[in-house]
Amino acid sequence: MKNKIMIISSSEKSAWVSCQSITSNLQRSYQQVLPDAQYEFLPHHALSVHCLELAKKIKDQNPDKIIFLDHKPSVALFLKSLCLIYQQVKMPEILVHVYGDFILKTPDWLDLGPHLKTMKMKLICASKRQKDLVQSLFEAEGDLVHQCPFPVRKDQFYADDNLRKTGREKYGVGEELIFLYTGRISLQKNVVELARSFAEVLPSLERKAKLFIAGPFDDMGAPYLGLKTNTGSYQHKMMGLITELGLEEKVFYLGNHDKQSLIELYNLSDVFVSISTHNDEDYGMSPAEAMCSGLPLILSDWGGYTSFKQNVDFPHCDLIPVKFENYNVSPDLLKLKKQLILSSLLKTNWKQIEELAHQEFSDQSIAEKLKIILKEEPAKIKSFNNNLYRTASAISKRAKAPFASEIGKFSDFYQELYKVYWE
Amino acid sequence: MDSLIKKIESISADDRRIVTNKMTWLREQSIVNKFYHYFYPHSEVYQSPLIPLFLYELEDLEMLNYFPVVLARDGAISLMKFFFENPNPSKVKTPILIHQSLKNLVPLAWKENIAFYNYDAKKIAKVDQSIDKIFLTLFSEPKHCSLEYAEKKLRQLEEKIQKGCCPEIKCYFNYKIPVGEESHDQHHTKHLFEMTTLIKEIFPENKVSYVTNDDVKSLSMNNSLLIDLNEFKFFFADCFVRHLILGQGAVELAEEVERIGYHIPYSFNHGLLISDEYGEEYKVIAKQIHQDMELLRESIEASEAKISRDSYQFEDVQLCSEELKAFTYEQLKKYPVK
Repeated sequence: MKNKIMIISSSEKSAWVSCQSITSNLQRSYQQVLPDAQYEFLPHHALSVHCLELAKKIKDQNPDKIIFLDHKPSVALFLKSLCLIYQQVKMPEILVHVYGDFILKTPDWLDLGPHLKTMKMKLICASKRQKDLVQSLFEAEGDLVHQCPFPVRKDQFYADDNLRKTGREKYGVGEELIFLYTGRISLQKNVVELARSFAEVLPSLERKAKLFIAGPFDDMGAPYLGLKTNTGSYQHKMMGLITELGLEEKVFYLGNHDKQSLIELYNLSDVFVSISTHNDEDYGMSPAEAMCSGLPLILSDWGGYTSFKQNVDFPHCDLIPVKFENYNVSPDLLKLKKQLILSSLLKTNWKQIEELAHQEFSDQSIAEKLKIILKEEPAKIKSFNNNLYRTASAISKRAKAPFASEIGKFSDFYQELYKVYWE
Repeated sequence: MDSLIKKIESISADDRRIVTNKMTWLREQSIVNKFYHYFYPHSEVYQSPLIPLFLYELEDLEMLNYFPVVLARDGAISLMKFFFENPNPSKVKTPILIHQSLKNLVPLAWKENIAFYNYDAKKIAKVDQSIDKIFLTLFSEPKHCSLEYAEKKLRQLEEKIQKGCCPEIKCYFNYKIPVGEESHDQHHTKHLFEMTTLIKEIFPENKVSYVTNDDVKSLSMNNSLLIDLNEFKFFFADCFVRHLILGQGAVELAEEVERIGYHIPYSFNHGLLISDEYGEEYKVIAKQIHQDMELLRESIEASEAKISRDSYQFEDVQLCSEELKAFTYEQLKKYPVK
């Protein structure tokens, strides 16, 4: 008998641009594996009453599996309503796609507590290191946490000689080597440090080079440390650096781009670079899209980024080590500079990179991976590990600066919890 | 101007930190809370190479003297109140930058202490294929932008949209009723309704949509035009939302008047132009305005006595009295700055 599957998604677009792509791409992948799945929606800020109504509907329809696609609303909050409705009746199997904000949701998971024992579940993380992080929070019977990258649409991100030519003409690029950063531009993404390192190696590069930066400036600061910054402050920092080092003809801020113009940017560029150490870096949609457009990657060896090397054994992804020193996380800038110099010597085969990336990340490839995960036996969460209790307490009781030490830097607990992201 | 530029250049990172961390030096007052929230997000604090603040936040003007120069984010009403209460700058040594369109409100006694700012962003003459979005920003208060002014501006915009171009019209409207005035306020609602109707009359309905704060922060602005419907800078002049949208790459329509001044970069895409040019008409206009104000001083003072800076009766907490508000509005209509 055919399984009846229900996919639950948010009824609103995420404020995070990467999550907008992720959920719609995941839907495409699921349409290939589960063409008959039924879709249900919950508002971003769903309250118990919304969850309860949907839970009743689900019980009436009695699906075999429920898949949660989005990062909002909180899955744990919904699962609680589902348990209340199902009571002693056998519940459907639950599949949850985990996002970078999982740590922030730990209080909701803790609240779910005793109900978890009645559920069979799979959590799907987009990278190996996030899988390790999530795994460290639970004691489970069976394989609870699985890994499957977020898909990229290969009809949208691909290597194209014409796009490269027209893009380079449009941006006035001749023979120069173009390093590209795309994504949110914020403190923990270390974009200013990237620009400074680039400036320092410019004289040593084999070819003339430029650094292109595209994306929205984000002044969220470092919420885990309670560090808030004013709107405009990171842009000022970047502008200050450019003026200080006279980089007006070398480092260019290109604004925030939509998908159509991003593909052009990826194609005209030579190397994608990001040395982010952001705590939510569970995957890396920008590197995945860049790679699908034929670009080699230079990435920090941090969180989800590491999987670009580990998963594919991808020869054109170079990882920059990350250090945790003096309660601070930072990429090794000396290694970054060496890598920038080395990459100026390389000749890139765009098509080969694109092919490898499409094999790994296209919505079709992800559909195949999801098919395998769907067939696997679900697990049962037996209990929470101490890390989950501590994390939930930090998030709910020290909400303004959950991972700050007394001196305002990262606490020992942050180092312990996130060591899987950099060790 | 040279000495002003030197003062601007002497603003330190510490000065900027102090001004953005207001809780360390400003007492909590109802007037600050009420109008920060009423004007929000236009009133939001942002990072600037200058010292932007609202003059109405200051209980004691000597606080200004800590900074080499300050930028008054105030609109006409709180600026007029400032000049009404301080006819000369005896206590204030620090130069103040006000929006260029409010220059006629400056009393002659203040002339040497006041210079001007204006927005400086990339300009376009026509809306062609390269523009796919037009952002209309509005604060729903008739004195912020009259229906007549909006219609004139939007009709001009309609003419500048080239044939074959059909940009999306994104309306970023701020609908608020001031705290304490909810029970008898209807003009905000009426104004919003009339504005919405007007926009849908002028532009194709299927192209008009409403955007939220989150949308503004996440949408790409690279191919966007900003139309900020702030007619007289009556409530506020320096607006966070405008910086946000221009900072993300939106352009503005070119105006007939050429702007000159010293450019202060705010982002990769925009900045402010600073100037101390008063123009030929200023002296006559300013003299007339302040003579009239003196004639009305007694009735304005009586009206001012009824309002408060700090009260739990939020209805009484006002930037200025109704008398001064009406007087200011009349002057702005009578003497618009070109």
